[in-house]
Amino acid sequence: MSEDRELVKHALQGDRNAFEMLVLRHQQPLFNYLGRLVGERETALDFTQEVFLRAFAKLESFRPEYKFTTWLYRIASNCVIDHWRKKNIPCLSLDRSSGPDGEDAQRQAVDPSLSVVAGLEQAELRERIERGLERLPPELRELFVLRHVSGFSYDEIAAIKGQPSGTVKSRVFQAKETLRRMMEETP
Amino acid sequence: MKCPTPDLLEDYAEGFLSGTEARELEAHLGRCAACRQAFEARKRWLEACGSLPALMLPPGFAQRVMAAAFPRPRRRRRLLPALAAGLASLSLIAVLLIAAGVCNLPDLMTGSGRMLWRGLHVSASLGAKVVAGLMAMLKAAAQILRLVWGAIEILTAAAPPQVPVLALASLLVLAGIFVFGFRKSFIRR
Repeated sequence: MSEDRELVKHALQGDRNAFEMLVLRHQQPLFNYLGRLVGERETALDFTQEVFLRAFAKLESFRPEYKFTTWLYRIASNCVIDHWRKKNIPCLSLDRSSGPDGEDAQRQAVDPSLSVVAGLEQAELRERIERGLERLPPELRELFVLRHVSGFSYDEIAAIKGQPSGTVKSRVFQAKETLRRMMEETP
Repeated sequence: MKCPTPDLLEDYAEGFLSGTEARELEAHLGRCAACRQAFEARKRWLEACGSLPALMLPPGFAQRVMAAAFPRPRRRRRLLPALAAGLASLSLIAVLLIAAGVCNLPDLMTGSGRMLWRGLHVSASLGAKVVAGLMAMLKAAAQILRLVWGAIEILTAAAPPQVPVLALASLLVLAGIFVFGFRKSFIRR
């Protein structure tokens, strides 16, 4: 990670290769994140480029005490939220409480409804998750993707979204429960 | 210990529980078959969630980003210096050839003057031919228009006075439809 900071430092001094190295290091995971969020390959490609351009334009605002990935994904997240707003896709704030569904899911003692998992091969399960993900509400989809596709820790997601870690953790759980319920409803 | 909640099972599967909590849960899982089954299902679910196939970038994507971040300067700016450099090089070669005695300056000037004159002569005669051709085309078009006009005069004289008005109105409507149909070509967003 300190390598990222070094590369940013060199890029700020006008080293073009340093910025190219940053692009090469982060392009694939960033595209994966954006692709899972927007669902269209071409749009995701445009967004990935746009995020790197925005990052390049405000590279001076990056503070080395933070992780570069956190900073980059915050830009990406804002970019996607702007896109959803323009398309009038409702985005809920993470400040909102989990709601009765999420609470119920957490209170439930044993979870018999994971039956959707039992009868499926792992590949088929993955395929159904991919399909379900497209129908998941955007704000939950983003948290799911950050945690399970991009592999960020809850603390890192909290830093990206600017929210408490506990809130993020319970919303990620809610995202999975919603996804599971949706998979059960539409086999 | 009571049967654990799904989020506790998930915390255990993800390794977030403290040593004591984990031991208590393990003891419960050893006793409770339903919870053990629920835990196994949750573990499989989490594994599936975390192993979705990666979406692959097309090759050369980084170059695309770099080209957008560092756009090349326009070519037009380079054209003028290149032209000036070319002319300067030609002049230099000419001066060197004359100085070395390879070329005779008066002969060179006479020769190039003749070439220039011949070039002018050819282009002037070509231009004259083009203008003559255009004039012939215009004359032909005028003849056709005169014929059409004559035909319209004959028709309007024979027809009742409402017909020309009707024809004019129809023409206007047609023109309106044409402009409306192609409005996207005229109006820039």
